[in-house]
Amino acid sequence: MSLMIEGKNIKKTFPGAVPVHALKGIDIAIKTGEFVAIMGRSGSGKSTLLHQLSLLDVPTAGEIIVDNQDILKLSERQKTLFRLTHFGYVFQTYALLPEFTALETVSIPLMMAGVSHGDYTKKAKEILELVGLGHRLNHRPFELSGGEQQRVAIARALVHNPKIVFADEPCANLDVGASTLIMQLFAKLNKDLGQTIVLVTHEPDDEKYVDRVITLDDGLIKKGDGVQLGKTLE
Amino acid sequence: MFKTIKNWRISWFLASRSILRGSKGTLALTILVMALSFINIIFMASLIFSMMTTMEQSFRQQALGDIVITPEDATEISFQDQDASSIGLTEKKQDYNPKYIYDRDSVQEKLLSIPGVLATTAHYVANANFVYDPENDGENEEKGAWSVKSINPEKEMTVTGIHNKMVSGKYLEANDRDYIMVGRDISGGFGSPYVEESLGGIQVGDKVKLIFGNGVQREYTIKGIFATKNMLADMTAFLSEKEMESILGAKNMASEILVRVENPGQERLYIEKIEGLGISDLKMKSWQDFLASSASFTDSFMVINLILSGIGLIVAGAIIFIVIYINVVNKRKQIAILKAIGMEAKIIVNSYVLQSMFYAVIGISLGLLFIYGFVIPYFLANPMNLPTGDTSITANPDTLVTAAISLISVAILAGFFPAWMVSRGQILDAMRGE
Repeated sequence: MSLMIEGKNIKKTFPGAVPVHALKGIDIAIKTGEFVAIMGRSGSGKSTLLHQLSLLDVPTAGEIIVDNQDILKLSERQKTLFRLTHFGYVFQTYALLPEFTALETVSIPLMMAGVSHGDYTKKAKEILELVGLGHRLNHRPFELSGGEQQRVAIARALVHNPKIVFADEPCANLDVGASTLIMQLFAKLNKDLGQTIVLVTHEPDDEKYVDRVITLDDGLIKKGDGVQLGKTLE
Repeated sequence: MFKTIKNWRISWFLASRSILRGSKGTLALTILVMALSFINIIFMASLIFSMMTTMEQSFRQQALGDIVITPEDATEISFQDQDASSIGLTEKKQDYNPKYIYDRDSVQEKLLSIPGVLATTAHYVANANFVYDPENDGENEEKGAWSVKSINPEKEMTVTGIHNKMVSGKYLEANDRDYIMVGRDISGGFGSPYVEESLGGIQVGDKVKLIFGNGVQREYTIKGIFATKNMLADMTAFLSEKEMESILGAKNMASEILVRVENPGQERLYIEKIEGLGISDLKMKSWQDFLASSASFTDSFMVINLILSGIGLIVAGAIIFIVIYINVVNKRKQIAILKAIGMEAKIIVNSYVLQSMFYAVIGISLGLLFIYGFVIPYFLANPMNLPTGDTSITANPDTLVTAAISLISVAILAGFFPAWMVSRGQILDAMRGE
């Protein structure tokens, strides 16, 4: 399997009166089609790492290669385009726009990709049906449960066939039942579509859905997780 | 090109959903602020514009006609001269000018031969000191100096509208020799703002003594008092042509000829035609040029109008900027989400620009609807009784266009800046609401 993400010596320091060294030199490698969970205690740097890998933030130092491209060397505009064409995002707080229906929300990435009206509507409906929301197409966020909102977010993340889906604690605000549904959905998408998924979670129970767990502790990868630049992944 | 259209379509898609499904309260408030700001600017500007127009038109209707013809080297008989003379009771106006238009009847005939010239009226103009002795005992005399004009009543009625503005007594007749007709600012009654400088409430039937610049003194009975609310007219007294000719020892001459034309606004064309008649030694001015050369009040009004409009625009612009700015800043999380999922910043920014333009256009439209549907019809039916004349509200198209363009521009800036700033910032900070 080829590498989808390769991060070298990623450091992130948040400036301030007392600078916070959130990431202290992370080496990470994730293969194409892999479902990886990044775990660790609160404050261990797992969300910060996901933000660096997904172009939502810029590391203080290091190198990140995604799909054979050094993404830190891209201009702001190129980064935006890269996010659109390569990444899908699922946030803890769903990050849905309150004025848009489920169908419109999921259609947005396709609109931006230049897909025609007929095609993006068809594709958005299909993906919403895939996540079990075929009956909620014209509902807006406030008309949906938390689990349904997160499934809309997952559909939006998947609709344009991204190379990687980044999910930042997607079940943190959901009850057990809804969380199970979401995790099963991720596992199904990974298995059926070969979707590369990078998941940040603090739920030990989620380990059973993923191919591999990367555990962070105080800004460093914990020993024994076997993620040293993909050497042990082969 | 295709990409640009696609981007604008997405911007409009985002904007339309935000407008249609966003907070109805915010939408209503923003549009209301827009409409009120527009109305505020237009109302003040229109009021001043209408006052100016009313004043100017009253000069045209009551005092000057469309074209004023004077002798080539006549001393200017101006509004300012009369104003000054009316205030200085002891300062006798003695600049009696003997320069006349000769062969008046023939000149008037020639003027009327020009197609489009509807009517003419000729005046002798003289200055006189007025003395009114209410008790007829030589004490407590009321005095003042005003302009006296002669009229041929029939011809005068075809050019000026003073005959329609009689508030007491009767209009002069051609054969009246012992009668005089005065404006309300000479009489001091009928709402005149110049009571202190007047003859203290002289009424129809009262006698007044006039001392002319050439030394002639005569006593007249007040036949009528008119109130045009035009200062130039209301500070003038009228005698019959026959009487004035006997005072001045003149015959078939005039100090000025006023001309009424068919198409107001084309005075210059008529002046060219009059010049083509070959009448020499005449000076011709449109009523606007006559006013411009003799009075600076229109300039003052223009300056006031400009200042008020400018302040109104700045205040409206600031309010609109703040309202839209707050609205957009409150949506920074949404902007960050769109940017995070790969939407180009310019598409996001444009969507807010479109929203702001929508607020502006709807607000301005409602403002226009209010102005044309209510304000203008109301004041047409109920003109304001201002010292400058009965004033209704007339919107100046230039002001409307300037105000509309200015407000739309401000709205665009107010939508653009915050969206641009947020779209340039860190995605995570905006998403966290920092």
